[in-house]
Amino acid sequence: MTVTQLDLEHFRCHTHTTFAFEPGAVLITGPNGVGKTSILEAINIASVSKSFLPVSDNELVEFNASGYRITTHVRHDLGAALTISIEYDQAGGKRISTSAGGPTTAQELIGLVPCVVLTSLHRELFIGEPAIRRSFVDRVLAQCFSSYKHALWRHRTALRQRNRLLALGHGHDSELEVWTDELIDASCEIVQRRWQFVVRFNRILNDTAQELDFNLETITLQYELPWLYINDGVRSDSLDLEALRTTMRAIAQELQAVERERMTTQWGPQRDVLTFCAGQRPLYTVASQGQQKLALYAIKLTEAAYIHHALDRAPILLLDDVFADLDSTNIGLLESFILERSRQWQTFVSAPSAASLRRRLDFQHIPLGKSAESLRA
Amino acid sequence: MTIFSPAIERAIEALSSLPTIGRKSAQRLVFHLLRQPNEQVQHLADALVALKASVRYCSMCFTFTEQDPCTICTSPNREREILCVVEQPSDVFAIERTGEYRGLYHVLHGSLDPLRGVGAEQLKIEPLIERVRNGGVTEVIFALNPTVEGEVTTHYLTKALQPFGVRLTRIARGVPVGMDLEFADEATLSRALAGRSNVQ
Repeated sequence: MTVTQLDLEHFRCHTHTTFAFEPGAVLITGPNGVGKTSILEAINIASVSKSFLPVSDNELVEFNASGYRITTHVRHDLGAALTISIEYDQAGGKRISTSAGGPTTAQELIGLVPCVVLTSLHRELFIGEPAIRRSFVDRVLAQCFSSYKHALWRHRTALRQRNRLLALGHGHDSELEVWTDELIDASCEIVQRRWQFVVRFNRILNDTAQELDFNLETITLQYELPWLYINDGVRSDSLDLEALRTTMRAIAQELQAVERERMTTQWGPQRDVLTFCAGQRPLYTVASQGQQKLALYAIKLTEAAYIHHALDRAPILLLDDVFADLDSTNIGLLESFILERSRQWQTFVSAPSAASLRRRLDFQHIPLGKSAESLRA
Repeated sequence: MTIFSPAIERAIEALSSLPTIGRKSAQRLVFHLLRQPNEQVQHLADALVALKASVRYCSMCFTFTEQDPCTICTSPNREREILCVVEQPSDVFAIERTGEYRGLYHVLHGSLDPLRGVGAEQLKIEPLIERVRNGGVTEVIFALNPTVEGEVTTHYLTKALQPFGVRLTRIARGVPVGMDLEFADEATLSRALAGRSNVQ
């Protein structure tokens, strides 16, 4: 897919701005505060309805304005055009519409224009809480499979309802039983999908990391389900849904007394552990800052390849300030890689300046702020 | 501090407590009512008081009715051995509009939802089990909302009714008639695909 045009109204520092983009690599440069990241953020909102930064919609509205509007024009790989409009009003909330079918929901929007994002916040993928890696996997799978989105929704609802019943104490056994069944069903679907994802993801990641060649042991995403043990040491390693269901039921039975005491569910994919490793050790313990940055890029390329294969649609890559913290050798390596892969996936890169890039002329260059003025001069 | 007089403020508050009515809509309704003749406002007030005084639950199916049992439960033209279980009385009217269903109903008045304090005891589940236990019912059709809570309630009722040996069915889920496939939401399409049938 290709973003051909982006119209921003009262979004961050953009009062009324229109950008036209070409396929391939787009480089957005400018000093701090001119709205480089905002462009990437806006494309991400057209993809999943929210920013990749931890901000509320109110914070995205330009100072003194009452709302923002993002209109994204996209061309499908086969040539069909699509326009996605996101309007946010502080009083009326958010409205999403597309040229394909009028108003739509945030859930339906996901997967329409698949995006892969890399920002400095993504270093949390290595050092942050397991929940960060779970939501990384969930974001990829939700963009690819609507049934996964549905399973996540079922799981979230059933988990909250079941925890409420546990908090109410004894006397609701038959109700607890049906909420347990629902939670098991949704959990099985999530675990099975995550399992299949990790197998395929590691295969692509291995190839990508070898190409990037940044002098680390094999990088893998390791998937563990510590909660899937029961007291006698039995564990289901099978992908067979029925076996998984039977094991979960046994665990739910086993842990019931503890759960009533702690008033919360003690099993399920909300306790899955995912770790990025180099060899057998967590990646962040053995990789330098530069290596971690390249590893993140390899992970994001893998994510793009996975989505492209699953959806048969080329995703859009949004790389925010990716050249920071890299030495000149690695900047050159990454630059070549971005340009090469951008033939397949339209790639947006933000950077304070293009000075350190050897092949800057191969990018569509969009200078903002002072750099734009000096270019015009 | 409010800019309206106490009477107006009280009316706005009362109306905005209704479902789907926000404060702005409530304000519009209040100002509309203030512009109407006294008789019309009195007519509305009388209708609301009469509604609450005369409408009650049917003692058999628990839908809203002015005569107990309701006209559906007492109709000689209904197939009394089939029960359709729905969440709300409005669902009864939705199914009645199809003109295709000739059985009786049972309204649960909600679905299992512990977060909102709704458990089996708050729903009309025990009277449903009683109706099936008393005999004469051969099929129970579940027509609950396709939410997680609706699905779990269907599962709960299935477990509760299975011992009675009656046929337990649920309404099909799929793409609305007359709708373009491309506009159907993904969850509905996925379910429609999962529940596909042979072409005769």
